[in-house]
Amino acid sequence: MQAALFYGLSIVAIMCACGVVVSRNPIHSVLFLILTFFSISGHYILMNAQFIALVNIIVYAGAIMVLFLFVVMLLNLNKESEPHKSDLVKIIAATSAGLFSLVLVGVLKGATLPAYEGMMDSENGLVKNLGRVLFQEFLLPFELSSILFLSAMVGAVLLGKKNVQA
Amino acid sequence: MMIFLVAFTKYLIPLIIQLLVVLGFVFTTVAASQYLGPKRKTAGKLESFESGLDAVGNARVPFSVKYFLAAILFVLFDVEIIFLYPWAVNFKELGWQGFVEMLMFIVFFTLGFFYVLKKGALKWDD
Amino acid sequence: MSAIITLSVLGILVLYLGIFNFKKVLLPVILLGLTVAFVLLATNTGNVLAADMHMLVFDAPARAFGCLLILITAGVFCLTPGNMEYATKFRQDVFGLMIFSLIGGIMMISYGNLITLFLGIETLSIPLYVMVGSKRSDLKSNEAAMKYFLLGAFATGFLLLGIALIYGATGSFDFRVIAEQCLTLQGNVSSWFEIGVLLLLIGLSFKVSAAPFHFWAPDVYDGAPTIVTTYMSTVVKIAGFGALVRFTRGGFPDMHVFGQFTFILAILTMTIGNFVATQQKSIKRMLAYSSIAHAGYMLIAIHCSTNASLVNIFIYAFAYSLASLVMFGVFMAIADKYELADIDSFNGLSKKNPLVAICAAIALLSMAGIPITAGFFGKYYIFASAIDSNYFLIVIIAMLNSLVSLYYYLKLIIAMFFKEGSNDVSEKIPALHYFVIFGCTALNILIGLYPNNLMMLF
Repeated sequence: MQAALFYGLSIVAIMCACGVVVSRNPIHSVLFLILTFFSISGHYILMNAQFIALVNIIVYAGAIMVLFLFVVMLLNLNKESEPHKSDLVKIIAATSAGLFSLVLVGVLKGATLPAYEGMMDSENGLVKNLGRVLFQEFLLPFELSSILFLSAMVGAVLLGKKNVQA
Repeated sequence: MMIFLVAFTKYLIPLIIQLLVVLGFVFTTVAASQYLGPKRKTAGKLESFESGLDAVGNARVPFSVKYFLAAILFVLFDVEIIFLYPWAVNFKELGWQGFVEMLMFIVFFTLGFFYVLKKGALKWDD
Repeated sequence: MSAIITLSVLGILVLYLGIFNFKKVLLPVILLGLTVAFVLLATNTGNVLAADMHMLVFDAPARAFGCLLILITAGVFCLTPGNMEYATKFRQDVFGLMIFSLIGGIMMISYGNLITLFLGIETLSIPLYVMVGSKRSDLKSNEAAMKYFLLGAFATGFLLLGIALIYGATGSFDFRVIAEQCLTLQGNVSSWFEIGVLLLLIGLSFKVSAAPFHFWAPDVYDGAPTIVTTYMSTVVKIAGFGALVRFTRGGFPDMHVFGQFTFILAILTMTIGNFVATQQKSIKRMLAYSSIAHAGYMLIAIHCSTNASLVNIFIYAFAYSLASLVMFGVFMAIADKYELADIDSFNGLSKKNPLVAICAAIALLSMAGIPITAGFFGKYYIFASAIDSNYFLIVIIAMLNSLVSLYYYLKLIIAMFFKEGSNDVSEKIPALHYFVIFGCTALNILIGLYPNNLMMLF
């Protein structure tokens, strides 16, 4: 049951991710991306990480995708104005990406991973444990991330505000 | 696992059957009306309805960056709220120390919020 | 740790001072805050927070690199008067972002955990994307910001995948645990780990603009406001290399697995940087390619990873940043106002302003690695310790590259001293610029005379 769900979700995720890249219409790409996020959320639930799954849907599939749609609207992409790369560039890009995936597959195929006890605990992904880890072990990165948020805020205002007041 | 299986057969199978019937009915009727209904496509019919006026140009016009700014700020504060949740679940256990930790985080955000307000980034008309 | 707190308070203070119209005191407050942070960092002897959990480790190399970062940032701030006209209305925003970005840099050179490494890189980069695009009316600046952001996000993807794979192989983000795993497994580490380290190195080499991940650098350096370019070519470089050397010296016994990768990276970076730099007309682009070439020399120290790598990279980065500050300071003073500032805009500088011309010449000679400058010792230590560990080929290639680099540095010197310039009135240079230019030159020669004193920091 679990394995079937895993493979089903994985196939959906990979197909949708391919759809993001392949589809000509940027709106379709965004919709495919939302589907990808949903199937990844399914993976999180399979790993018993409900909180992460929900956050993934709320923040990524919800908020960030709205931003993506905004960007698509702002850029006003049309089929006519879509830039066309030369075939040479396409071939080079495809070759290097293919080589890279070959390396990745080649390396990861033969890899053996040691089994970890304690990581199989089904309680691991629950909000309570997550909060405990976040506010004790990873407290410093958590506090430091507020600096990151603040600078993102300042940056958004700097670039987005039309007439920055004195 | 056993409990799950029992629950599965006892409660879920009837539910799933009902879901299938409902969805099946909806899809069949919609699909059938698509195929069985007569279609006469003329240029006038295919045009999008604009109160009798001819539609001009592309429906996707560039719009103000103000929406985008508001959306970005929304996402940032959305993430802040999400961080509150794991803290709230462990509120008693983390105690005062956790409270101070969260307070520092929120103070940073509040300072940013006042900065954004002072800058007038959320003012709609300028 | 207290330095980071000071800096974040300083950043917020700067933002609010700008809002409440205390713009006159911005620069003094920033310099004061940076001094306080510098002192706190230099005297910090261990972790302040007990709950730190080995997230940030301020050991001797981290303190040295951190102090260097703060010092150079102070230099960049001293160059801002007269060069921030494009941002008169939102100067405090750019200043605040620069301070936040500096915090990211300090996190990058003191991390003890892959999470803080990632957070540091992001805290360094996100303000930087905005700063590059802060000249909002300029199309080139916008393009540069877009390019830098997209490619930077792409590189971050690689970095994250690398971190995830390392976590998968070792079960921890903590450097101590990872190093311990490597030691106990003795070469039998899962290949997830190896590919993870490789991806992480790729992500970091993007940040330090090592070839073949350098394509963004010339356009971004060229398009960004020059003051931001100065910041990028000094502080970001130091932080990137600080992170790289901390990673490779972070206790992995079998780092030589990636010898091939860093070998190719170093040679490509030096050669591409130097040879393309000879072809550049615009000074800014030339300095961009020369900064790529300098990344190549520093990669040699990463490649032959010995105990001396840390201090070698520190001295090299110090020397290079000082020279860069002088060059960009001179460039902003005399050439930045031209649409396409090519080498001819330096013509006849020695007649108009002989002292500045001499300082610029010393900076260029230091970049080329001519003796009694700091740049010479930077190169000398790196090459010497490479030869000590029997890496002859890479040193020979580096020597040849230095000769090539002499060509385009001399071209600028010849333009300054032996060519007739236009006879327009000499520009007024703010006093703080003189301070930076003379101070950096003096420091440069001082390090050239007493290079051993720097070693004591470690």
